[in-house]
Amino acid sequence: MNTIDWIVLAAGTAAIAWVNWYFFLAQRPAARAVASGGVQSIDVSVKGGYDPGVIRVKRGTPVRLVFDRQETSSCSEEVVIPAFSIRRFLPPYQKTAVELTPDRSGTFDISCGMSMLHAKLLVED
Amino acid sequence: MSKTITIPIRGMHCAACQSRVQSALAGTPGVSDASVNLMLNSATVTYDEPAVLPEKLLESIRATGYDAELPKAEATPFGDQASQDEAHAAELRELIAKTTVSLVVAAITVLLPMNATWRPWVLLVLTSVVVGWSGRHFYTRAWRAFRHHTAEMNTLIAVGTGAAYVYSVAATVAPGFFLAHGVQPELYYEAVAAIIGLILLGNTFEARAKKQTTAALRALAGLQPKTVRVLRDLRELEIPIEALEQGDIFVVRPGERIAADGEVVSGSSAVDESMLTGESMPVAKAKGDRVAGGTINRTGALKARATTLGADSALARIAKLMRDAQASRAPIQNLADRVSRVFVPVVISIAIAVFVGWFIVGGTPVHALVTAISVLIIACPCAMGLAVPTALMVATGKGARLGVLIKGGEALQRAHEIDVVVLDKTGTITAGKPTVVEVFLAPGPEGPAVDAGAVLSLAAAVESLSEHPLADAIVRAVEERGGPKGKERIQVRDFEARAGRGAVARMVAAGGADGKRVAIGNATLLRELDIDPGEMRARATELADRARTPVYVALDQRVVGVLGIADPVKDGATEAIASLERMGLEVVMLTGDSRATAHAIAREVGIDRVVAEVLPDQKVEEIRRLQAGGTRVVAMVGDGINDAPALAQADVGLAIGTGTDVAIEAADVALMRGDLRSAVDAIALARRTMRAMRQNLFWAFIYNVVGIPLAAAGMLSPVIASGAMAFSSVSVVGNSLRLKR
Repeated sequence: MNTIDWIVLAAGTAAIAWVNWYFFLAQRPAARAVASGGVQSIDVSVKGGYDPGVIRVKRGTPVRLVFDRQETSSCSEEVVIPAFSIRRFLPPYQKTAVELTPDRSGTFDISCGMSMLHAKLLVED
Repeated sequence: MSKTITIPIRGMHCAACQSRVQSALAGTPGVSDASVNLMLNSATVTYDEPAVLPEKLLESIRATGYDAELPKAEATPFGDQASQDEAHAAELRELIAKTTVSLVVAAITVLLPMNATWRPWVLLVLTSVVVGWSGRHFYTRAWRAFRHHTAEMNTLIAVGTGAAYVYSVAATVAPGFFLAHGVQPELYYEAVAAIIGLILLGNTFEARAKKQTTAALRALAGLQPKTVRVLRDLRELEIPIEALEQGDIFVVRPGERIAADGEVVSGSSAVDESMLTGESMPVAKAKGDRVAGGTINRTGALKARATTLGADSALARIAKLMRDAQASRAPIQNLADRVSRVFVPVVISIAIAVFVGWFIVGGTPVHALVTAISVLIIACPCAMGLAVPTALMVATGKGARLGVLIKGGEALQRAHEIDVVVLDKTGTITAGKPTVVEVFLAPGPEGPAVDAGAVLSLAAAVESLSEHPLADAIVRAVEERGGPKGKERIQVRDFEARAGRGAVARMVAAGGADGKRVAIGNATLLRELDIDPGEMRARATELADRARTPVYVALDQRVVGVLGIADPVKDGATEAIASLERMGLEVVMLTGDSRATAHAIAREVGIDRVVAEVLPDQKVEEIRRLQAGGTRVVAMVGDGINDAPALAQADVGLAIGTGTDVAIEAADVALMRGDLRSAVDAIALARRTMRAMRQNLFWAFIYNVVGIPLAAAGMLSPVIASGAMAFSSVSVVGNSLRLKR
C-alpha cells in the first residue's frame, strides 16, 4: 500500500464514522410543547423529516401535535405513532392536528408510514 | 376546557345583523370571546366546555333569527380518501412526465456517435435536464432528510447518481487533469439518465399498483348516492344527500340505490345488500324493517324514514373501519421497521468501504467509484417498507367484498395463528329462531284424519292469538307454506293460554255455532284435558331425543298430529365446520342450552367437543380455560351482543350477524353475512395474507442480502442495479395484489 492508499483508507474510515455519528448519535433539536387551556400544543413541520425532531410533553395532559406538511413527497404522507395507535394521512401543504393523551412516561417513536422518517415524543412526569 | 369553534351562519346581510349575533353570543354564559364575520358568514366563538355546549351556541344564534349549523365535526372517511386520491393522481401525472423525459434522454445518449468531439457537451446538457428536472426531487428530498439527521431511499439515489454526475462533469470540463494522473476521463452520463429513468419508471408502476390496493374503499365510497328523493308536504323532492335530515321520509324506486339508512314505513321489496354484507341473495324488506344506504332496491317501491346519517351510517362506519384497518400495523412489520431504521446509513458505510477496498486492491479509482455507486443504487429499503402494509390493504379490501370486516393488522395476524375455534350455538350454528321442522300425523282407521297442512292451519289459528315464541314458529310455518293468513285463517274463539303447557280455543262453525275444541301443547296439557296421545306418544319421545320440542295438536279428545319444533341449523354451518376441521382447527361448541339439545345439534353438524349448560358469564371462564395459559390461540364466533365478554376474552373475536346490523365494533372481525362459512373465509384470508406478507418480507430482505454483495463484488453495473432496485418494489406490491383473487 502506498501513501495515497493510506490516505484513502483513513479518509474512508473517517467518513464511515461520521455517517454513523451523524445519523445515529448526533443530538437533534428538542422542543417543548406549549401548554394553554389544558392542552399542550406544538407545530411540527414536515419536510423530508420532522422539525422539531424531539418533542417534550408532560404526562397526563392532552397533547395536540399540529403537523404542517410542506411538501408533496409521498414519503411523508402518513404519520404513525404506534404507541398510541395513531396513523393519519397528512394532506400536502396543510396542517393536520393529531391529538393524544400520554398516560405513561417514556420515549415514543413518531415516524412516517414506511418508518423512514423519525421523531421522538418524550413524555416526562 | 376552553374551546374555539367556527360556526357558519346563514342569512346575515348587514352590519346590524352582525352585531346582533355577536352580542347574543357574547351574552351567552360560558362564552369568553365571540367575533362574527359578515364577509365569511361565520362566527368564531371561544367558550368553556362543558359550561356551555356548541348546541347552546346554535340556540343563541337562532334566537336572533339567523340559521346556523355546526361544522362537520369529523371528516368522513370518504372525504379523507378523496383528498388522498387527488394527491396521488397529481403525483402520478408528474411521475409519468418525468419518467418519459428521462428515458427519452437515456435513449438519445446511447444513440449519439461515440467519437464526436461535441459528444461530452451534448451529453452534459441532456443529462443536466434529467438531473435538474426529472430527478430533482431525489436531491431536494435527500437534502431535507439529511438536515433532519435522517437518511432514506432518496439519499441513496441522490448520493449514487450525484457522484456519477459530478464525476462525469469534471471529466468533461477538465479531461487533462484526469489524463495527467493516469486516469481515463470516462463519462457516465448515460448511466445517470438511465438510473433516474428506471427508478422513476419503477415509482410510476408502484404508484399505480398502490392505487389498486385502496380500490375496495373507493368502491365503497362510490355506493353513496349523491341525491335523495324526500317526501315534503306530500310532494317528492330531490335534494342533495347532505340536506337529508333524521326523520325525513324518503322514497326509493325499484332498481335505485337506497340513499340512506332508514326504517321502512311502507311498501315491500327485495334489497340487494351484497355490496355491504357479501350476501348474494336479496333480502325481503317490509314495513318496520331496516334498510342500509348504498344497497340496491330491486323489486318494489319503498318509503323509509331516515335514521342514521353521515358518519354514523352503516356505509360510513364500514368504510371507517376499513380505513382504520388499512392504516393499522401488523406486528410482523416490527422487524422490517427495525431494519429500515438503520438501513440507509449502513448501506452508505458499506459503499464507502467498497470504494476504499477497490481503490486499494488495485482497481482504478473510476472502477472503485462505479462499484460503490452500484451498491448505493441497488440497495432498496422501499420494498421492505411496502411488504406488510400493501398486503394488509389488499386483504382488508378483499375481506370487505366477502362480507368479512377485519379490525386491523394485529387481528389479522392473530387470526392466522388460531388453534381452537369456539362456536356459540344459538345464532351462530343455528338460526336462533324456532321453526317447525317436522310434522307427524296420527293414523286413523282410514289413514290420517287430516293432512299436514290442515294440522298446521289448525295450530296456527289458535297460536296466532298467543305470544309464545313457539307460537310464532307455527304461524310462520303456515305462512311460509302459502297457507291461510290473517282473516283467511280458521276462525276460533274462547282462546285460553295455559302457561307452560299450551293453549286451547274453540273453532267457529258455520253460522257462528260452536265448533270443535282445538288444543295445542305438551303432554301435561293433554293430561289436564284427559286426552290420550295414543301412538303419538312414541313419536313425541322420538322428537325429544333429537332435540326437537314436541307439540301435540288435538281436536276435541283426539290427537291429530304432533309437530317437532327446533332451532334449525343454518345453511352452510355443517360445511363450514368441516372446513374448519380440515384447516387443522379444533372446533368446540359452547352453549347455555341443555346437554341433550346441544349434543343433538353437535351430532348433526359434526362437532365432537361440546360444552353445554354454560351461563353467559361462565363463557369467559371457559374461553380462558381453552387458552391454557396463553399457549393456545382461541377464536370465538358469536353474536356481538350477548357474547361480547366472551368475544373480548378470546384471542380473536368474530361477531356474526345478519346484514348491516352486526355489532361491527364489538369484535376483531365482523362477519356481515351471518353465515358461518364467512368465518372460514376470514381465517383462510388471514392465512393467505400472512403468507403474502412473509413472502414479501423474504424477497425484500433477500434481494438486498444478495444484491448488495453482488454489487460490491463489482458484478453489477449501476444501470442494471437501478433496474433491479426499481422492480423489487413493484414485485412486492404485485404480490400483495394477488390477494385480490
